[in-house]
Amino acid sequence: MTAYVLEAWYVAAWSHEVTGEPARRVVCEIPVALYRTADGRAVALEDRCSHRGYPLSAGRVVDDALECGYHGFQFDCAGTCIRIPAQEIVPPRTRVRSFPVVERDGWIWIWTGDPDRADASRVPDTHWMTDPEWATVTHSFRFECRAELIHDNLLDLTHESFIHTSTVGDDYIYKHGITVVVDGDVVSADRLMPGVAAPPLYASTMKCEGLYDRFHCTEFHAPSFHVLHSGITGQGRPREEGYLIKVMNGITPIDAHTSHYYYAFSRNFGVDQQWATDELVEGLRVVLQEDADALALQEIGLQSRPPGEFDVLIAQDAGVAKARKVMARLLAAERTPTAADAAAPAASGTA
Amino acid sequence: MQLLLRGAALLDPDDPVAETVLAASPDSLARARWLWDVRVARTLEPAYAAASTGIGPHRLVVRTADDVEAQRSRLELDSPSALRRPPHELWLVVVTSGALRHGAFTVAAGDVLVWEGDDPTSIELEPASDDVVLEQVRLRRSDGSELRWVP
Repeated sequence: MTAYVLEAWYVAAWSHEVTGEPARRVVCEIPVALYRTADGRAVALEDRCSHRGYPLSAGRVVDDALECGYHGFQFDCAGTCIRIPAQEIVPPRTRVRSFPVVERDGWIWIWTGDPDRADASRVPDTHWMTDPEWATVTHSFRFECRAELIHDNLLDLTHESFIHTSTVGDDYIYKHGITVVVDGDVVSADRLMPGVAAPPLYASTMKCEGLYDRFHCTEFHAPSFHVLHSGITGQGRPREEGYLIKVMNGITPIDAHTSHYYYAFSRNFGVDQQWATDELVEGLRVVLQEDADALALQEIGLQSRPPGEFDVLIAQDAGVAKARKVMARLLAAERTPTAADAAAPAASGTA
Repeated sequence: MQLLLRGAALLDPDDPVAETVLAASPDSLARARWLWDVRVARTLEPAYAAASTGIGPHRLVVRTADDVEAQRSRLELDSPSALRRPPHELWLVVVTSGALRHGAFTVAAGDVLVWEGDDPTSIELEPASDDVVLEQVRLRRSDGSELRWVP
């Protein structure tokens, strides 16, 4: 199994995807069944019945419990088995893991680590999704690549000059340097591009011609989420005066070679213009498909790369390099036994 | 390129021997000839103590190959200052006391700034508190050619 940072929140679904019909997701190689109770609460249980391993997501919701479709075992929201149709006694081991869930601004987050360490305050801010001053477009993609490649992609936006030539790319991007800031588990890479044209995808929506100061700042909340603060403003003017875009990217590993990509694009201009939204829905789908195609090819390239060969990083990769170091630190911290672990008695006997 | 490393990102508070690479070239051995690296390390005998950051006493460790030169100096920033960095040099500044403003950033004691390449070469620093003290490291190639980094 690939190593994942598990003491973390991951986006598992959009709110509208979690209903009274169970849905399956795989997060960091962990199968998860998602459903919603009658009072609207989202629930996440391990998607593998403890009886015979059947996926619970193939069953149904009965009185807020999830019923296995194979032999009818029922599990409540905490993962405790509350009914075995064929007998009265429920063996204590007949339970499945439940995951802490946070539902906020249309996102369903699950905590894949120790439930006692699940801190909802660590879920990144996404309030633009529900702020009436902003309009939002969303997409969901399955990327045929490891999650790390998507992190790299978002932290080094010079690829826009080559991958996204018809939408958000321009040669001026890679000609401007970046400022990288590392603060705890957050890495940001900021690029200011003074006196340039607006990106083709947004120019008509923004109704702007001429030259502006363009900017984009990728803010990576390790290990799973990026907020891209971008936009254009008048030359020499503060960013907050301009047309602003917040691109939120939930990157959730499925396994070593595939990833869920939950994408939301919020804008503070043309908020009520449906034609603009329609145009962005299609334009952003193109952008994401271009990324998906490129990273799938990169994944193939990496799988055939001989051991001992590594990326050659350049100065524009400063954010990439620092993010990798933060991820390595988080992984190492999870491998290091805590004092509590050391004090725990050794397991005895077998079930 | 410029890099701002916040003090909280530098050292693992649970690891008494933690040492963090701030900038280096190359970033991994066996890929290219090693040229230089700059690290921050915890120590009982600090070169400076940025107590206000909560990361405790630590010091800079600068190592260079024979064809790379390092120059270290201590700066007291009592008024706005514009530093001119030759584009072939890589500079690193640690705020050891007080706080300063650099562009949109407030840089506090224990934070580290790194610059390289041609953007920016004019560096404007402004004190944001009293008693601002910096430790500056200038790295250059002995033959005057450009020195770059891989962070």
